[in-house]
Amino acid sequence: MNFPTEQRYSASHEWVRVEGNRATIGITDYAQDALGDIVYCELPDAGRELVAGKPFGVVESVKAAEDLYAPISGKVVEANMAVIDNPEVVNQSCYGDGWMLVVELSHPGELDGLMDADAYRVKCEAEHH
Amino acid sequence: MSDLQRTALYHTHAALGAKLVPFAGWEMPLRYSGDKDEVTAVRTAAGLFDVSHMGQVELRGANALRDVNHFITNDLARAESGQATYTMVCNERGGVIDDLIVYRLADDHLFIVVNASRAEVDIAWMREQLSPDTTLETFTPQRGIIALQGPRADEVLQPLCDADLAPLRRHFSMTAKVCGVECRFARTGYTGENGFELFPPGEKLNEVWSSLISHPSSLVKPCGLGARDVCRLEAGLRLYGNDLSEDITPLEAGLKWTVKFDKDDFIGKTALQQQLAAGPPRKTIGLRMLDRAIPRHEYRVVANGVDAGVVTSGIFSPTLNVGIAMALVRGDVADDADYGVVVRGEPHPAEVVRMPFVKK
Repeated sequence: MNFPTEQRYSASHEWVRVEGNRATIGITDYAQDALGDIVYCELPDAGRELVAGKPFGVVESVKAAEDLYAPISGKVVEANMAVIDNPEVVNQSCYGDGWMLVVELSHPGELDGLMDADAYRVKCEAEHH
Repeated sequence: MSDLQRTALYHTHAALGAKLVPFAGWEMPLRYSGDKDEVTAVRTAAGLFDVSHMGQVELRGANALRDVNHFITNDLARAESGQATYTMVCNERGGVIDDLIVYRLADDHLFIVVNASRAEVDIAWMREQLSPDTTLETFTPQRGIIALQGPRADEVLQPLCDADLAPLRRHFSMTAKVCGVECRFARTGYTGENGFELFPPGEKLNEVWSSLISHPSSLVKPCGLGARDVCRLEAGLRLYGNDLSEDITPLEAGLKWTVKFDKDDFIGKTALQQQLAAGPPRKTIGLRMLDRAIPRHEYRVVANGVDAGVVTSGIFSPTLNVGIAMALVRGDVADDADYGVVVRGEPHPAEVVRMPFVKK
């Protein structure tokens, strides 16, 4: 399982990568593996305001449906149409081509409340056992 | 997870990279390569499932057949030697205690395979119904179950079996040497495909599994409970706990064919006869989504804009590339009504289709 160090993680298994005042958001390797083959994604349109901890979309696999939770607050700049059209890209590249949203951060301080890669790895291992 | 039971194949599954999850008190493989990949293997070649968690019971005695016929809805008198009969076990209200397979091995010897989640309830219920001279013996986990399912199952199994498979009819069982192990096997399954279920002793389970999985053609893929659930729903087969329960009758579940009203008295007969005469209040239908929404267990179903019932099982079908569901709806709703499934608060259009969803 892959836990890149250049990004932060939420307890609900989303990752956040920050560049300037913008953040890219997606779901983690742990999440895509737990879901299995992803067949459907519902993402908000550009302009929508995300609120940290609140649902912003849905990801569904053959067997399960899960809400996506905003790891940070901000305005959606772009939703990745590729994951809507070809949801399996999330399985293939959850940290790369399978990114979901670009968001303009409204409360950058929220990033401090997210986990680093080591803390997130420990959490995943605990959930697994 | 220390209180979970493991089949003799547990370490083999782990070595194959399976994702193992708790299921009905057992730690079982959910998936190996992925649900879609595994379902495709079952639909086009062959998939191999460890279903050793299922309960195995044998009943013996001069009255065994009569005893069992009294607590099941189907009729063993119609079964030939070695034949499997799919049947319901009902309570007095006609609700389903379990759905199971009874093999009539001999007039005084029956072999029953029950759902893992219901094994304890079933065995307690059975014991109450037996004559004093009928013996009940359980074979889980001393004996395992391996299911080989798919259009090429015969091709895979024949070279490993010392008997000719061609004469073995669907729903019949026999004993022979398979992969060097003497055991019973049947042309049965839970995927809607041709295939076999093998019942080798637990200590030989790994031998049989590895012989089948290492078939030189590489036709055989290990498959988990995820793919099994997809295949059974695509095939229109019911799952106990979803589509069947003590509060759903076989008539409501669309399984009237498993109830033989013309045989001697059986538990639940009166209630079922009354329901048949009055018309069952609910019915089970197959729904196919008309957009990309995916129906799930317990989502509400609407017909002509009014609440009509509930999804009992729902998935995205990788074979049909669309969401499909079994639903329990009011008995008076017409099949050509405007059906919808409520997904996240919004009704999404669906149409009634005859099951199985995937036709063979």
